[in-house]
Amino acid sequence: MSNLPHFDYIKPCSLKEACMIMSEKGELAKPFAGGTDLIVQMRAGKVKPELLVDIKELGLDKIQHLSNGKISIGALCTINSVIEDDLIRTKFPFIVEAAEEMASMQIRNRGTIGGNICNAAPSADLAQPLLAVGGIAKVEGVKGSREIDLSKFFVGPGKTALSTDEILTEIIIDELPKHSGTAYVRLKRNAMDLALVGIAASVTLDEDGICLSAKIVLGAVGPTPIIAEEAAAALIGTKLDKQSIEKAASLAEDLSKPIDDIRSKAWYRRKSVGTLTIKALESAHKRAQDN
Amino acid sequence: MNVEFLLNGKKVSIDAKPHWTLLNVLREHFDLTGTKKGCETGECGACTVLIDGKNVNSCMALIGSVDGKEVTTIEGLTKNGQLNPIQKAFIEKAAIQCGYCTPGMVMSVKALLDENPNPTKEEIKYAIAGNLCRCTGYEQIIEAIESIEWGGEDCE
Repeated sequence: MSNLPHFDYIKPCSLKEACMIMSEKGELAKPFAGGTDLIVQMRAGKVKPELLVDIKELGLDKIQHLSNGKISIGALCTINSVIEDDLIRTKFPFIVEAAEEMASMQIRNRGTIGGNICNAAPSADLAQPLLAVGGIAKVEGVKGSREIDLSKFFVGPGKTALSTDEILTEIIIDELPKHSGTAYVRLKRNAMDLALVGIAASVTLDEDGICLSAKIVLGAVGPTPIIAEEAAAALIGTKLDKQSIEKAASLAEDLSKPIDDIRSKAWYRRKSVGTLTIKALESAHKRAQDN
Repeated sequence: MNVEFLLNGKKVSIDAKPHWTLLNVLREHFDLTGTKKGCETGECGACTVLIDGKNVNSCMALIGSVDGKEVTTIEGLTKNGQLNPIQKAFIEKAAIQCGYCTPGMVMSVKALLDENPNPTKEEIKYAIAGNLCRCTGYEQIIEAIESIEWGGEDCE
């Protein structure tokens, strides 16, 4: 009936049960959420799970403002529910910008934020803004829950810090201080394309418009997202004038490690890192001045 | 495994294999061949249906994940032999050539108009970006969508 290979399917009633099953089955089981990446990989024969553990209905789909000012995004929130959330839209416009760039309405209605980052594709759009804000990933495993700093979450292409029995449950991001601005800029050929390059920028100004802190994260130009610390450091203490932004962009280019592939050449990606970093910083700066 | 769901308003039940997709079940078990099989990787949108009112690619929806949900296909838009206003507009504006993308396109438009009855041209383009059409160049499709006066379920 279908050209998907055979596999078993289970919908556990609790997170604990899901972790137990994943622990027993090890590499042969895969958590199943939106399926928008997994089904494609399975059709291509790239992954051959014996068991899919459907975690979509375990109630991990809430976005909440925590009492400590941080924001919790449930791992099973669909991409569109993140886009439609007023809190995210107001506080972190670059998360919405990254999410809106992803694939199609159909995919965004089904795909989840947790799935996007757990697949850890170098071109995953949501990784960059999340890393630029900073925070933690909360995961649940057979031994209980633990927290992973987002900066340590991505280990390699398709690889995260999760072990086989662990399930990402929520992403808790820090609140940005006032006079902060964020932007995400992405290079792609058409609506359905993956990012050739994706740059997230976040800046915070003091009352006089001097840059207090900055983050630049480069996507699709390395095995994992690159937090361009040296590039961002060049902005601290400046008024984010043209010269400082161009210097940061040039440093970002140097920090990128792009490869040649079917969608782009490395040299073109590297050049684009510079151009897109300028655009992202200018846009983030403007928003910081308005906030 | 047994899967029950609401299909175009009727409760259905099927003894399914875990690797079956909603697309296969619709076409091969329920003979609802209006929903088309295209790329089967979520790129083309020919298989678009609504699950709980949201447009999704049925080629990537495992049948087990549809249990307890409400599914609407292109066949579910026709009420008492009357075409839906979206279908009428597509015919009126000649927004159909080969017709293969049309059912999926119409389902995406239904999801859009249910949320936003008066979309701008940009909102329309954003909403149908996941439905590929290789014939029309999209111009007539966008014109058709712009011409619809959407009154929701009442006018269907």
